[in-house]
Amino acid sequence: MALHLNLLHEIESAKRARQRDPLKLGIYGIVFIVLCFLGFYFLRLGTTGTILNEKKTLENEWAALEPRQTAAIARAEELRAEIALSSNAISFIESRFYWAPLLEQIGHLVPPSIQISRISGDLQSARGCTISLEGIAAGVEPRTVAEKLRTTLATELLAGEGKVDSSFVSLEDGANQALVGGQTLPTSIFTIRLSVRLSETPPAP
Amino acid sequence: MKLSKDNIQKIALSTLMLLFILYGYFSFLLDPLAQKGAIARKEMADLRPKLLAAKKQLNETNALEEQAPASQATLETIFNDIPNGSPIAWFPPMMTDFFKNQGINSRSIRLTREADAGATLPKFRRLSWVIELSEVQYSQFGQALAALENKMPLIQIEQIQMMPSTSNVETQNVNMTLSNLVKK
Repeated sequence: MALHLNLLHEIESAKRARQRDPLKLGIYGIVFIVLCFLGFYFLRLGTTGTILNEKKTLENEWAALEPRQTAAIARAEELRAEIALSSNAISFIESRFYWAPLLEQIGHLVPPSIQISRISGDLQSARGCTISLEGIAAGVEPRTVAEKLRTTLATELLAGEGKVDSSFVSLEDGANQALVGGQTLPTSIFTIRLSVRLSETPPAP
Repeated sequence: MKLSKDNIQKIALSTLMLLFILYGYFSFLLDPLAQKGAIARKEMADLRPKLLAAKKQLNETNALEEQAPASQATLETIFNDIPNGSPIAWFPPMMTDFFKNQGINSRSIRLTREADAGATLPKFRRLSWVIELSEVQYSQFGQALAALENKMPLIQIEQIQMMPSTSNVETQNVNMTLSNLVKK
């Protein structure tokens, strides 16, 4: 058997020892970890950069919108005030109480045997008023004539467009007699108070 | 494998270096970046509702701008119907002429009260007047009243008193209290 001698034994041992140098292996490991960390850092840097760009876009948009918004708020206030004023003026006009139709109806409902001597009307609200009618009723039974007027006013005045309450403030026998249709009849003096309340829908102007 | 003292020192040094690198990485690179991102996200979250509100406000104002011309035209029409100058100068002659055209004599027209028309009508004043009409027939007065209420929309009659005329039994004297809106 031939003798096998490895004359490079010492050199190879030294080489192996160098290859297993823990510092060198550690440095390789650290470099690898650092590279991973750097990769992750750049990934995060890219994401953050995107967010910052988006933020800058929003800031630019806000910088452009903010003065317009401030101006728009002031203008909106101005316009709202104008619209409200116009609407309130129309509401005032449309919700007025119209006296003429009421007086016309009263004129039609008073029979020839009654003479109205005084009318007083007071506006209570946009939809209501009180009216006081003073007059003389003539008839065989003058109080009945006055009562008939009171009930007629209560039921027929406004004719479904509101509510009328009527009551006597006074009803007395008259001292004088009246000539109605060629007949001399006894009289009564009355004061009727009407409380008029229109329905909520305003009349057409 | 048995580590020599020299190798142990080298491993310890490498570990120390790694720790320093980790500290520096997190403290000087990653954390500031994360903080920057978080701050940016928070600011964006604050900005988005503001932007939405601003856009909403602009849309609202645009909608109001579309409504406004009709309201402005209405107001202009109302204001154009009110003569310029002091109402005490133009209102009594205007009413005298009005009743004269209706065939009614107005005995006097007096201003009794002047006040703001209220918070809902800030550009108006409300004036109260007492008008005395003499020797007017019931039907004639009714027609005049209807014309007044229809032609003068800013007038509201508040009180009416009709009493027999002393000079002519066929006619009445009328006292009216009315208010009208005028420009401030």
